[in-house]
Amino acid sequence: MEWAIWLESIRIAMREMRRHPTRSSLTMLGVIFGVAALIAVVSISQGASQQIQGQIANLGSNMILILPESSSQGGLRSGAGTSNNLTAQDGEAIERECSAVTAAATATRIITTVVSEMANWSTEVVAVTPTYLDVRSWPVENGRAIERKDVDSGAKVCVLGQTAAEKLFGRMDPVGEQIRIKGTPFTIIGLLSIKGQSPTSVDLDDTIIVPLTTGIRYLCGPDRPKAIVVTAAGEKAIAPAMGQITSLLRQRHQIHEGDIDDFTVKSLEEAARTAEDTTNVMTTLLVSVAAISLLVGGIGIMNIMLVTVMERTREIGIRMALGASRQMILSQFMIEAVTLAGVGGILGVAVGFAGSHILSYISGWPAIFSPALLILPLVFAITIGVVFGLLPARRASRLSPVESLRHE
Amino acid sequence: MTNVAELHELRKIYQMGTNEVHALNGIELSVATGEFVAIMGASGSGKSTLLNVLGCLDKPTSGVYLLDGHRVDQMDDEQLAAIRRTRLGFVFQSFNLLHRSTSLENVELPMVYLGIPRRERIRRARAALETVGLAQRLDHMPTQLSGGQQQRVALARAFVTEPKLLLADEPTGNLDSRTSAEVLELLTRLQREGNITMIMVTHDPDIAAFAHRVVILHDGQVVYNRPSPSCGGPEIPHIKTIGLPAEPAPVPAATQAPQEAA
Ligand SMILES: Nc1ncnc2c1ncn2[C@@H]1O[C@H](COP(=O)(O)OP(=O)(O)OP(=O)(O)O)[C@@H](O)[C@H]1O
Ligand SMILES: [Mg+2]
Repeated sequence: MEWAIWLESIRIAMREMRRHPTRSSLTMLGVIFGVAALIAVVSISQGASQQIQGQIANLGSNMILILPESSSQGGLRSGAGTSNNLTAQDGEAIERECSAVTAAATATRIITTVVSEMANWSTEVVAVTPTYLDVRSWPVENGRAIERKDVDSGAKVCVLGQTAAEKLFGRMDPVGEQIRIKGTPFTIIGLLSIKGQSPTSVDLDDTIIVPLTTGIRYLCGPDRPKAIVVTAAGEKAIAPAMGQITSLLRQRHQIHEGDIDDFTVKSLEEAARTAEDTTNVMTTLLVSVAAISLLVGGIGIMNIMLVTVMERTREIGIRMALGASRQMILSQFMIEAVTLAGVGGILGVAVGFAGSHILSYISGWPAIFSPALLILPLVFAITIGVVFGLLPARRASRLSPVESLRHE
Repeated sequence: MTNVAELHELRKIYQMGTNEVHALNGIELSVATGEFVAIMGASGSGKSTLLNVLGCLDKPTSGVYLLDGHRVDQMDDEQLAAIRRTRLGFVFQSFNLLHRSTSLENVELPMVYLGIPRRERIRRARAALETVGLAQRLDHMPTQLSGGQQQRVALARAFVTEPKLLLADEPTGNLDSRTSAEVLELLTRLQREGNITMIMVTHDPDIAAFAHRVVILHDGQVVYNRPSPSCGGPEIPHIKTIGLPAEPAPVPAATQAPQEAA
């Protein structure tokens, strides 16, 4: 068909929209809302999911966490302090004997007040074996990490997280300075790089790392429950590593066949997958709602277009008399429907973009926009226009010229 | 080919339930290039039906319709639309302007469907509106124009594409007698100057007298086909007397079943 006719049809469509501003905007509302909802839902859930995944990955890659099972069953188990059943020796044994494990570290933590020359700060102090920071994939930015010799000798040294450092020393470089933890002086040997937030929004940088032996001697005593963190030899090694750890620890803890473990083994990938599944379910649900709204918007367009065709029967007859073919009439009304849907779609993208930012601001999740996220809903909207414009447009194109001209 | 339109044994039958209405009942008619034919006949005699078929707005039930050498009766909708935009022009009794478009846009419209670029459309539409004396009314809506002015816009619209055949169904039927005369004069002038073939339906013998030839229909048949008085023909007979058995007519109308009763 000729170019001039297409241009004319678009001009007619725009004019019809201007002529019925209320009708057009009400008709477009469904599409606007659908597109906006689609964009808001997807951008926010993508942001949330990316944030959670990032935070989980940030905790350490291929990491396995072993925690003591604190609730023992009615004193069936022997041994003192059921919650203190993981030891540094367990950690060493895991690293030595489990082939799917590359590193294991034992750690325990207390919350206490720390004093520098400049400030007091209540923070978390983690007492660890030397591989701890490797397992957490957490390099030092300045100075050095806790090493084997520090643990062996029980040296009174510590490494600061960025938040703890800032609270205790401001902008000053803390390496080489002294702090007192529970009255004991510690020399700062290193400053950690920034780690950010955990999935539960805990500031991971608000921490101080000390050697495990020193921590036990001066800070918390030997009975404090400990955890073991492990790096598996790769993503595929996670499951075998968990199996090996479980059987090794059962053996070491002399747990009989049929009795339950006195520890829990968790992988972070598992946690990540659970989080991902949860966001996926939510996203699917909300996207369906948005899609239904788009569909309803399409039905609205169809309804208005049917009314329009009725109202403009005479016009259609005149156009046919002047030489418009059925195909041209069809295109004209299709273009009108698609214009309604398209303009609604563009407005929807704008509203969705703005709405996502507002939602992001309220929820704290970032809103992530890809070009596809802004273009695809528009394509959907236009498709809706095509699909729901077809019936009214066909009806218009099939009118008889003679009868249409007689129509009042 | 000197005949623009030729009709042979043309029939249009409407099915009304079990009844058949023979609106056109074997029309024989030829119209030469540049000719102006007036079609008369009583109400319900089939004038509008004939004009709709001639205008390719409606398809005949049977018979032959040759337009400009093409077998129009065998064409599909798409081809008929192409014929309408390239060869035909219409003037209606009720003007049939797009009431939400300006005079200029109305005159542009047939050129849109011819795929003529906008700039040229506007140029030609302006010129056409100037010819009908509406140079000062380009941006007026039909509702802002008098009946006579509206019909002149319609004339500009019909002539702007230089059609081979112009069809006018009682073009002055909605106008008072003075405006009617003005519009008619304009119409015949444009027809003459453009050497355009025109078929016009009218009830008024004074208007039919402007034509070259007068054709009278009765019950869907041509019962009178002579030059008009102004072209050396006889006085136009009174419509009421046509087709009655007493009147000698080319076709014996009495053989036809009465349709008005149906
Ligand atoms: N769509 C239709 N369905 C059934 N019958 C029709 C239809 N259109 C026209 N007719 C019949 O065909 C006959 C001719 O109608 P037509 O409109 O051609 O008459 P006309 O000569 O133009 O009359 P008028 O002078 O009143 O305009 C009439 O009997 C009419 O009832
Ligand atoms: Mg009529």
